[in-house]
Amino acid sequence: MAMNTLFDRIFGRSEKSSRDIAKERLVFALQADRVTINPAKMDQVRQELFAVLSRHFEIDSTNLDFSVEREGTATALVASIPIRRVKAE
Amino acid sequence: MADTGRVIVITSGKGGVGKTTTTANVGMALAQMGEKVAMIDADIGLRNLDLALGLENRIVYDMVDVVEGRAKLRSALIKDKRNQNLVLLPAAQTRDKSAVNPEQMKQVVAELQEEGYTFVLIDCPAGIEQGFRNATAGANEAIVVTNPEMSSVRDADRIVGLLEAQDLRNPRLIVNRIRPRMVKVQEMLAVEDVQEVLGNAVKLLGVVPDDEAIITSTNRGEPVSLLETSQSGLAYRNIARRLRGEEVPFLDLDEKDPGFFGRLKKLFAAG
Repeated sequence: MAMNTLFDRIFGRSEKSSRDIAKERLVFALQADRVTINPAKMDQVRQELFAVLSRHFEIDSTNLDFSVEREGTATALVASIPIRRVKAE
Repeated sequence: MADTGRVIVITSGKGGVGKTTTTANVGMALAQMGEKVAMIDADIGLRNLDLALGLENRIVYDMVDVVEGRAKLRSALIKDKRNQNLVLLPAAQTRDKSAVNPEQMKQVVAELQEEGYTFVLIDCPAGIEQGFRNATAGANEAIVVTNPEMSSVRDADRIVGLLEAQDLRNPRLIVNRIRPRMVKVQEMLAVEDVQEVLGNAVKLLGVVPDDEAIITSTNRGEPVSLLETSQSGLAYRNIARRLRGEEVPFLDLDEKDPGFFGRLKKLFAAG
């Protein structure tokens, strides 16, 4: 096996080693795992965020949009919160 | 005085990666170094640590007996005959994880510390359910055991997060069952790969090679850390020394060059 790997390297037929493949797959899997939010947690975040914003804004709560979006390896919380007016100090 | 001792939970998430073997060997090594060690088998219903230590024939009472008041803690502890510094609190075999709750676990740990044990090692069951919460409840440090293999590393990552939620930050990592020859030919995750993937929050505590001596010594109920000649035994003793605060370099697991005569011998053996 070692010999094959060596030949492959020399003649440039090098396929990725299973070590590299495993590492790459793991990195991706863990990235996804780490940003997975369960619905209950998401709901809690939504409520807390709403509470904070409500202190300063009058919010149109019927058109709230709150989601997790993924693009490649990046993950973002995206919130669209329409406001009706800023509350007076 | 009650909070001077160290209480370490040995955990992994995934089953079968070597938690129990690690607990038995690190515990024995610590006892050999003069520490007073108590081990708790927290895997209620699936008792195993007694076998790894060769103490299975001496169990009278178990953890659930203590928690439910049928036995005093002292009478449930099994003293190891090879080393008087070492005791085991066995798991119940006929009950399940709901027989113990985190508060009761904390109480047992506190009582052990009052008895003067300098190290309490808790062998955590696989999984992330109540057994995990019980086992981590009384601990003030955590060791995560993983194999250089994808699913166990993934579970280790999950466990690190759950430990943090239990206020057990910066757990220490043992990479178990490394096969240096496979790593060398790029067919197994290396220790540094595992570390890199898990991130900086996890510090490496030890590397244990995949070693047949672990199988034979477990067959005999003799922890391999008692075996002077085995490489895995040395790895476990080094882990114990690091836990006591010593700086010990990590083992070089590369195959030693057998030298000219060694190669000659191999050649004849092969022929």
